[in-house]
Amino acid sequence: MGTARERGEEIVDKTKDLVGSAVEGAKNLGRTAIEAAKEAGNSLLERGREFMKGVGEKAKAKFNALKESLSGAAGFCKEKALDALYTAIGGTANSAEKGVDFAKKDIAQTVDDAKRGVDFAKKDVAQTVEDAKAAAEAVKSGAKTGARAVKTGAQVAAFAGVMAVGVGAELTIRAAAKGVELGKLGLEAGKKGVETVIKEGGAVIEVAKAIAEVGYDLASEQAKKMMEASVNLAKRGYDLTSEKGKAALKTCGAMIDKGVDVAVFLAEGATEKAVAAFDKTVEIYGKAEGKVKEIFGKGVEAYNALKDTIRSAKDSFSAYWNRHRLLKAELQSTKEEVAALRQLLEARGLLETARNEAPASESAA
Amino acid sequence: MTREELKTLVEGSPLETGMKNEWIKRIESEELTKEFYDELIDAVQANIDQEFAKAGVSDENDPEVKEKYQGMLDQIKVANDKYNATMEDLSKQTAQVQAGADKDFSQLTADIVKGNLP
Repeated sequence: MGTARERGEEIVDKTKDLVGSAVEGAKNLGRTAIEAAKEAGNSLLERGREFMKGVGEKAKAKFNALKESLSGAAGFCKEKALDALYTAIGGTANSAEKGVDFAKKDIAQTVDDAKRGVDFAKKDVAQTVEDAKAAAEAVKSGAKTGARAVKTGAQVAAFAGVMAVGVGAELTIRAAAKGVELGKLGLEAGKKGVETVIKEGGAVIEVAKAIAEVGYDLASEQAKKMMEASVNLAKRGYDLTSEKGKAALKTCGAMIDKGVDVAVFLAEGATEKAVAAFDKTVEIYGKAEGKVKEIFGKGVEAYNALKDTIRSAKDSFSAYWNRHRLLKAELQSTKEEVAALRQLLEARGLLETARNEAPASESAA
Repeated sequence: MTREELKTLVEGSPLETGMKNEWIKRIESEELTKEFYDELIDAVQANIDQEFAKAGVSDENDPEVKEKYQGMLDQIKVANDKYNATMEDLSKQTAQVQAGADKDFSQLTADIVKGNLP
């Protein structure tokens, strides 16, 4: 056992060790706490980024699923419309077959009628020969009377010739006046003709526009066939610039795609039932297509509204956070670092302004 | 903002060279939609975050920042829930349109076969 001084020194050393360990321990604990806090902070941001990424991806997937579903519904309606029209075309074919049968019967009847006609003609010929003999006798007797008539006729003709000159002149004057009048009428008709050509030319352009608007290349064979069909549609009272008219054009397009000669199908003389089926098909198809468009419009609106909310929320937070950090940077960072940060923040602000004026990638149009 | 103005902005910014080149290529070839700008802004913001970190500014643990960040996430969540409900409703409406058209066309076909059309 040492002296009291030695024990005192020993206690001091142990105390120093303990204090050293405690300080080291506290330092370690502090570091752990700081790292944990940092990790917690980063974890929040990390989770947030993951969340936003997930929202964006799922929203896009849902929107694409809706588009696919709407496209499927439109395709389904198109096929159903064609099924109905094929049924109607089948009816037309049956009617045509019946027509052929009628025609065959008509031809047989015509042959019978012709035979009877020949018999009548034979009888007529015999009668005609008899009549001719009688006529020959009449001619002989008439010759004598004729000689007298020639003499009298010559005298009458000479007188009539003198009169005819005067009458002819008057008639010529009247004819000339009539000619002028007819010329005026012709001019009027010509003007109307020109107006009609201009008007119909305009109508053709309108039809071409409508065909282009429903998505057909005007240089394509399909568009040419649709131009032909559009004449029949117009005759049936379709306004091709209206929604109903466009639905009719699309129905025609679908029929042409399937190899149906729409112009013939809709032409005058086609069975009324087939054309009535076409009208009804256009009505149902047009109604369904209108609803599909409406739903798509609502989907686009909802998708864009979600994206706008995300943008607005992110812009608002970023503006706050960037400002918050910039204040700290101004106190503790170099001038160059602060200048670079300011330039980036300014660029971000300009991009936000430009983005707000840009079109959305999804549009209901 | 025109394509040229946007290119000038990106070229003149303190973005990293590789990033600038990548974005200039995209600006020249892609449609400049809101979504395009969203991506570009996200890239610029990521660069801003890096620059703050380099400058020694880090405040992710600040309770106020955390609160604001959580507020942003909550706002997005509400909008997302509303969007999901709308899309579900539109999906049902689509099925109804298809079923309705199916019924109408079946009736039409039956009328054609029976000769019931006017």
